[in-house]
Amino acid sequence: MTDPDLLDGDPADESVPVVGLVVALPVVALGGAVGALGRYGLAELAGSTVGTLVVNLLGCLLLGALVGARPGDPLLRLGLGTGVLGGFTTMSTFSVDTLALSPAEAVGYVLASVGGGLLLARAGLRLGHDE
Amino acid sequence: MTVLLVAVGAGVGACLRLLVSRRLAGAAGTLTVNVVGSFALGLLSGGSGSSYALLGIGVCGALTTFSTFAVEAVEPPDGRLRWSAAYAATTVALCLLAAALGSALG
Repeated sequence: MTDPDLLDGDPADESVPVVGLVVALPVVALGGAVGALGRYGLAELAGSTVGTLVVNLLGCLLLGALVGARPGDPLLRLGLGTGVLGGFTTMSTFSVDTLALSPAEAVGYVLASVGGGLLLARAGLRLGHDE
Repeated sequence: MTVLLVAVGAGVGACLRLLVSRRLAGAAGTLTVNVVGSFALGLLSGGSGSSYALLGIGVCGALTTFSTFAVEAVEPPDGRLRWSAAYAATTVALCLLAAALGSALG
C-alpha cells in the first residue's frame, strides 16, 4: 500500500514534483519559525495548556483547508503546510501538558484536542475542496 | 531574545521533520517525529530560560506536529475508519508514554 505524503511531493502523483532540499529547507525553516512564534504568542497570552489547545485546533482546520484546496505550487504546500502550520501546531507540548493534568482533566483535554482536531481537519478538507 | 531563540529552534525542528518525512513518508514519518519530540520535550520539562525556549518551544515544538497528524488521520490511505482510529490511538498512547518516560529520565 502506498502511503502518500499529503504536503510534500508525492511519488504516486507526478503532478506534484519533489522540491530539492536546497530550496525546501530554507522555505520550511522560515515557515516553521513564523508558525512557532504564533504558537509562542498564544501560549504567552492564554497559558501553555489552553494556548496549545487553541493552536492545535486552529492549525488542524487550516491544514485541512490547505490540503483540501490542493494548491499546485509545491512550495506553497511546503511553506504553509510543512512550515507554518507544522511549526504552529505541536504534539510534544500537548503530550507534556496532558501529563501535568489530573486524570479527569487529562481525558477531557485529549478528547477535546484529538476529537476536535480530527473534526476540524475534516471540516477544513471539505472547505478546501469547495473553494 | 526569547523570540529569536524560539524562531531559530523552530527553523531547525521543522527542517528535521521535513528530512524525516523524506525518508519515511506519510503517517510513519509523522508518528516518528511526534514520539521522538514528545520524549525530548519530556526530558526538558520543568526547564525554563533560554535553553528551554530554543530546544523545547522551538525545536521540539516544531519537530512535532498536531495538524499533519489530524489530516492524515482523517485521510486514511486505505479509506477505512479503522485505520484512522488505530492511528489516532497509537499516536496519543505512544506520545504520552514517550513524554512520561522522558520526564522520568530528565
